[in-house]
Amino acid sequence: MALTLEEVRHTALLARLGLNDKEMHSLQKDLVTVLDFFDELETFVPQSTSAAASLLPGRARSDIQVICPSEERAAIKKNFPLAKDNFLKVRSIFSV
Amino acid sequence: MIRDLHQRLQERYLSAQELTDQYLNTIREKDQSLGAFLTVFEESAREEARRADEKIGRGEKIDLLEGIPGALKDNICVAGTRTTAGSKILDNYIAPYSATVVTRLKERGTTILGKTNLDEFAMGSSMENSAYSKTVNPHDPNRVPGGSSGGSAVAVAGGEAVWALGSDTGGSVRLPASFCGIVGLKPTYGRVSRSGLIAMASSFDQIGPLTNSVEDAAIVFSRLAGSDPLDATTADLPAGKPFEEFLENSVEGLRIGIPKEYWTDTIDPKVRALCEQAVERFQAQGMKIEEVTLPESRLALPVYYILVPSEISSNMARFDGMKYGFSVNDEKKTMADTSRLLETYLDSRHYGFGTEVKRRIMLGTYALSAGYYDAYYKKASAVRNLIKKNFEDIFNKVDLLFSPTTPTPAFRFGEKTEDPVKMYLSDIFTVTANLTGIPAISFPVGWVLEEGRNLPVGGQLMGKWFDEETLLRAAHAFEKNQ
Repeated sequence: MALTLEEVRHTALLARLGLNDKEMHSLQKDLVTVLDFFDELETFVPQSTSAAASLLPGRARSDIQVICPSEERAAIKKNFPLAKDNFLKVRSIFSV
Repeated sequence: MIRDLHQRLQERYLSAQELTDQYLNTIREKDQSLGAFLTVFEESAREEARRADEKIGRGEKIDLLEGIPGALKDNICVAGTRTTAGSKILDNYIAPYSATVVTRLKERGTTILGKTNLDEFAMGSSMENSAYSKTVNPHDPNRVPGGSSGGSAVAVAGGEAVWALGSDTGGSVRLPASFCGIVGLKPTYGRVSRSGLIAMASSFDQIGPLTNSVEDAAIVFSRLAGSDPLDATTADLPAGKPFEEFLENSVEGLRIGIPKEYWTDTIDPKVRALCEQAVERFQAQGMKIEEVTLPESRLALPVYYILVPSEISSNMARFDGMKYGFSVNDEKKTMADTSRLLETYLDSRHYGFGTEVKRRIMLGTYALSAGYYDAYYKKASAVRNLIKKNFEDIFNKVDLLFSPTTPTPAFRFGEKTEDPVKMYLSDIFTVTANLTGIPAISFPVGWVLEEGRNLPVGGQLMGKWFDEETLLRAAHAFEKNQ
């Protein structure tokens, strides 16, 4: 399977992943190798189009508000790369 | 081993503090060359041991795991301690809360020696993807210990811990157990809470023990299992079932299926010979052997390497340089002189993630992107259901399935790093248990001589959903009569 460098660049942007030129070329090669490995799946024609909905155990969690303990909240805030007062500081989403 | 140590503690032939010091000394002596640990909790481990001794001193009965020193893979959170997941992006991350498994083990009074090395975010089969130290196989330092729970496997096999926890997404407990000559159990999906485990692929991940014996695995597993309100995917089964008490029940008449698709020419002849001998031994113990077929299992590996990277690309999105972990926006820069939001994402992830993580994020993003979703993700999900159906049908005929854990013994460092598919093929026998959610165990079946070194070989038993009891019983019977 062919994969252009432009497709690799586009996928990296979708993934919000910064890559240098060397990584782009190396990943282009790796992705082609792995995608070729998936070719075996082409021989398979699914009888049903349903995805793996019933595969796993699980139940809906009750919609209960759980208050985060103050020590845990403080520990979470300690991991903020940038903070101001009691808030997580983030970049502005829109440029002015 | 755990039961024996427990008895010595309870009868005061040995104190928990002496036992802990003995293991801390071994870590000091051996870990510079083995590289199993990323963090050692000397102080808290001694404190936990002291508490166990106090209890014994008061004449109280202690739990089987109380005062027994173990280790945790460094993707399992312990409140107030550094948790890296083997990645530079979490280099300075301090976990704000503890994983449910940690809380449960601490309630039992166990001693936690520290956190072990792993492939970055548990992505790898060889332990060559950690952003930190190199971990080597204790049986041959030129060979990999297997990944991704390689640090945990080496800690146990190298005598640095009595037990350890790992996480298994496609074989990450069983494969290093096999390469290091110990026991590794992947429980049924939903049996053990994933709360506090740093997610790799949420519908595949499961925490499991690595130990020196099947009985030890049963003892640790019994203390982890059970429903947890913090993980909605845990099955509604109570905690506290003592699996170690059922190990001696008879195995006579158990039906073991040999899936013919697994026993291919890709298996190293010496590994194959040992696993064939293991089958004969099962038979000698009164178990019935039957060849079975799992036609869709040939698709398991490609399906796995579509679905898992897809979940990875989503789970890794949380590491964006904004909320926690490594960020290009560190405190030295002001908001005005650094880049825009998009560059923060791109650059933080560029510098924070290693090669394999980037490769899998890219694969997953590609498989989920418009135009390819139907061809990859949707089709792979349908095959996953079909494989599960294959296993449901087969488990109407047999109780267990047996195969080698890996096609080869431990390989040399660098042998497979240039070709990702070659590396992924190491997982060929282990991924189906994660695709279907069934429990599986790897245990030593013998040794092979490679370049003058004896290397262990593991065999794998797979069981029915939530029937770890039969799985452990059969593996224990094998081990006992080895």
